[in-house]
Amino acid sequence: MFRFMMQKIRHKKWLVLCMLIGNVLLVAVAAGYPMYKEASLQRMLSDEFDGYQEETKTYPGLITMTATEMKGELLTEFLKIEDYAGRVLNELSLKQKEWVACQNLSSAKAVSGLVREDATEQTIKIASLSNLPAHSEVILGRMYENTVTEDGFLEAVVTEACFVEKNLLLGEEFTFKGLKDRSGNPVHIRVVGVIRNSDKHDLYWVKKPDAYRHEAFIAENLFTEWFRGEESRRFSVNGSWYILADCDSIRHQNAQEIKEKVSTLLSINEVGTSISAGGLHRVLGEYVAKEKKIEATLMILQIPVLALLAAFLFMISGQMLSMEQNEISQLKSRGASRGQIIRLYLMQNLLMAGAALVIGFPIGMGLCSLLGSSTAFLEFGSGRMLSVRITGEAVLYATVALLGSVFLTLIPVLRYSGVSIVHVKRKKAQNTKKLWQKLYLDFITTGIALYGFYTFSQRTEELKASVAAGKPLDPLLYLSASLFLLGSGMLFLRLQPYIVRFLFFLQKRFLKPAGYASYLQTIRTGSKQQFIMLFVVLTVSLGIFNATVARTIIANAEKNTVYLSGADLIVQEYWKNNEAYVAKEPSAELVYVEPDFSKYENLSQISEFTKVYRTQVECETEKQSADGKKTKNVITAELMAIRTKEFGEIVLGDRRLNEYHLNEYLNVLSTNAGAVLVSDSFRTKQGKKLGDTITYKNSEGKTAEGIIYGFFEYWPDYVPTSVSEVDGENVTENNYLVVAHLSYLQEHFGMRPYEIWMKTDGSDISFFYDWAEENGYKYTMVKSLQESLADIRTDTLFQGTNGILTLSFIIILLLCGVGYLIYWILSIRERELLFGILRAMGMQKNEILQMLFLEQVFCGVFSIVFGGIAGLIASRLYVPMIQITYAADNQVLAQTLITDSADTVKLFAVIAVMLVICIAVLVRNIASMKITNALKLGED
Amino acid sequence: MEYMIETKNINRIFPVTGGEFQALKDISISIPKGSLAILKGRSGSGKTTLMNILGALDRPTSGELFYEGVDICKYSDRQRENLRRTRVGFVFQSVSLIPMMTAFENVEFSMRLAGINEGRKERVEECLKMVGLGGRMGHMPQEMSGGEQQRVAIARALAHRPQVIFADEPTAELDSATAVAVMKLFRELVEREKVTIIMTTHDVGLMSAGTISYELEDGALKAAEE
Repeated sequence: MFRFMMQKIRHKKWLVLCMLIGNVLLVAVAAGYPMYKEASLQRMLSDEFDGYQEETKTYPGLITMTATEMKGELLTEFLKIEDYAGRVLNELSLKQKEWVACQNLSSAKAVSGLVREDATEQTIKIASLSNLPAHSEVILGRMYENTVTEDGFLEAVVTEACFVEKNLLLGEEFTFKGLKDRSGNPVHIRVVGVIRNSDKHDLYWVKKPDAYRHEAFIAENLFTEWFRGEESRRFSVNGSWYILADCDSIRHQNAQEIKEKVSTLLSINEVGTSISAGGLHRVLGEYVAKEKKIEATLMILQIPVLALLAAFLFMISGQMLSMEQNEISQLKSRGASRGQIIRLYLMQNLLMAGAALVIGFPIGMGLCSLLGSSTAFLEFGSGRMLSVRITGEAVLYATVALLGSVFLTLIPVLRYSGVSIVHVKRKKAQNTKKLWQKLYLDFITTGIALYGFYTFSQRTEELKASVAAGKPLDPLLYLSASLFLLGSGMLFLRLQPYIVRFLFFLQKRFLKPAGYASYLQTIRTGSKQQFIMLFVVLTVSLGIFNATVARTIIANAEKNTVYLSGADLIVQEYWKNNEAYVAKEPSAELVYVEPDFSKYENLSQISEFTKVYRTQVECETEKQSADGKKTKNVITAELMAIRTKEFGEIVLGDRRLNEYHLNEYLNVLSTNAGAVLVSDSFRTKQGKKLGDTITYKNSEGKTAEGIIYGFFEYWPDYVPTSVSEVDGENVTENNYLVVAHLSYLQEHFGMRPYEIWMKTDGSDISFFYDWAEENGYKYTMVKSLQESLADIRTDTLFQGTNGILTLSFIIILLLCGVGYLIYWILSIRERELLFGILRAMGMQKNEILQMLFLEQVFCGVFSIVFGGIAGLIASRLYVPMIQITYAADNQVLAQTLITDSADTVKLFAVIAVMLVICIAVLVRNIASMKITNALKLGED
Repeated sequence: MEYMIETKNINRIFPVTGGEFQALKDISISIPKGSLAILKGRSGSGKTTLMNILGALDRPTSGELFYEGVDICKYSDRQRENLRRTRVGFVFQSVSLIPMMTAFENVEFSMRLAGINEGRKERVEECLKMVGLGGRMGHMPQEMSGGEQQRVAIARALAHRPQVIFADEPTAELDSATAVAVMKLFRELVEREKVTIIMTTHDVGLMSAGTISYELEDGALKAAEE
């Protein structure tokens, strides 16, 4: 049986290859999605950790525990924490990166053994750090010994800082009169060495060596023996444990669990002890909050493709079997039982599934890493590679999908193996309406989709609120869109024959033989093409839809970011000031020293730069109510003081967001030094009019005035309203912004630290950091548009969406290409006899090609055009709602539907290549066809 | 006598694995206009090969083939296709109708191919009536019996008024009564339409029906009878 099967496979190598491709794609997709999801989430988690470290400059995996005992008091708590510190990582199921125990006695007076001019008495803490020698470098003297010296000294090392500050000498000895050893003698130590950290970035030094200014470190075993011995609770010991969990080893699947355990850990509350794990708690918490949304979104996006894959396999296996009907009936007539036939095909399918599993996995992994670098729809590049690994989930998905495929492709066998050849032939001759048409599934599907659209469009506000609450894309919404595409595809199938018939009716009389034959072919046997036509429609429409979704969400996010950024680069340098002095002498004037501003001219990458001063001010307004009563009202407003001309040259973003062009606003402002432009909220909420004067006060109590020269709705980096949660309810708050002249403000408020807004030539922003570091300039803020945009593009939700939409499209395209090719090759094979007859009757090869070409137009081109239309309609209907899901918390600008014609061009280019390949194969097939051979086929 | 088709020393050699196979050996025949010529012989004797060459579907390896005195072996592919469209009609052994066309459309199609645009409808109806299928013009091939299909094929071969009709084993798949009816039809056509019909058969009973017959054996002409 096996040999027979292999023979069969060889015989039908093309179809088998197509089946295999289908199965391989199935594995690649089924395994690819979980792998991609897993890799994306993992990367997001590690990004969160990195972000925390960058922001706080502390290692995110740090757990700090401290405990204190006083001569035996609180000892139980101390021991409990000490014990806990030893096993906490195990309990949290975290890997250890570093584990440091620091113990010290309370500071004690110690008398130097030397006669010195300066203080002979020092305050010193005897301490120990676990595993100290391995992490330090001795810069003077030597490391301590682990044993007491013969003359009864404890050897100690100190840090550089301690050594210098206390002005110690190498070999200096100290006697602690207050600390008595077991025999009642004072404790003596001898400083034998000075240490520093051997590696600047060593995580071991959670507290940098410089922070140990009073500690004299002795060997840990000696510390324990001398000061922690069971019977001698005569000392007060402080313990600090620095436990550094390996963040890289935290798998995202465990994040939730670990977060909960950390919460439990943090709730431990013992007297005299403390536990902190701020980084872990915060990062994991933030991650878990985002994870659900992303996971759900990625999952929803993949459903249509999986459904299509199943349909594809069903179609191919059906086609393959319809070619094998004769074979099956022959097998039956030779006495093979139904069971044997089913076993034969089952074996064949299983073999194929096995091969697909082996080939599909690496392809799936390759696709995932490729997708990890996707930056937009069908665009790859600057992103980082994902580290993709095979997971149990992926194997499970792939296996289930394959089993499904094996079963699905067996259904036609069950059908064919039970019926006789006569029945099959009779059935084949019929060209009846399909079941879905009888059931009006096309209308029903489209109807449901439109109903979905209608209900969602009624509920956009609700949708926005649920997104704000962190809910993922509503599965029903995406499903509606998919259903719409499917439904309109089926509608097209119903419609297409009428269109062809109408065209035929118009041209019937004058048609050349080729055209005549292809019209009749399409009209009479069109239903065979329906599956493949549906695939083409879905490929194109889904392609356009996916591209629009991807493009729109990214473009809107980018537009918003540009608006909120204001300029390519905004920095605030550190200004020296006399704040400390003013704090002591409130009567003194606060003075800032303005750093050199002209130095930015030296930066070739910066073409323009300007000063922008921003601060918060209080603004007193009067409101006149209906009965003429005036009430005073103080509001907090943002103040932005600018130099109009330079600001106009540098500022980014759409300048036509307001009623007037931004430049016009700036021109008006520039006409009067005392003029201000204010946000519309002053007009709508505070009743201000043009020409009114507003008075505002900064935090130092200095005031300034401004005459309102204009109102605006949008201003770079101005957020008109913000939503905050108060007592569980969303409250919308209006924000106020006053734009004034910098010189006027400096006159009234004095010289205060301003921001510098810069226009760059687009070079990588690292030039600025390098320049600042080289010259030793200190900045309290650096905000780069480039970095903000990069953040969007590498954001897991955006990138995952892009990646999956692209992957879906590529898969469908492959399916469509493979399916299209199979359909046509089979169709030609089936019709070889017919072509022979036509050729015998005198038709030229060219005419036969023309005929096939025209059939392609009816089947392919019609579907492409219709798919395009359906895709555009679906985009118009559903994208505005889908993108709500991707709105940023600080989305200011209205989200608009954005299409890039480059996407459409790309899409059609890819499809055109598919068609050209297909036609090339057909031409080759037809050209090599011999009439006499074709005719002989009919004589079998 | 005016000959419709003449051949001189036609040879046809097929390359086969490990050598050559000579399917036709020095065939020289002359078929007068308006005759019903029958090529007979066992299967493998070269009937169909000869027929394919006579019908300009295949080219001889050597030798000459004249249509009304013109050597068509020198014709280009395009010229041969034109010849087949306008001057020749084919009826094949097995069902050779175009499956997606009705009986009417099948017959009409040969006229479209021949470039006839005027009077198509009338001629199609005439031909279908001639073969006795005037009432089944709108039927699809698969809705008709083998004999009916074959008669549609004959009507199709006839419709564009060709000079020659080639029929390769037209009766092979028909029962003997239908076969006799088809032969009767052929004789009528020769008389009414002044067309030359060349057919192959291995059915001994039909051989006497022709005006001229040739017998082939192993690719060589064994006998010719008038």
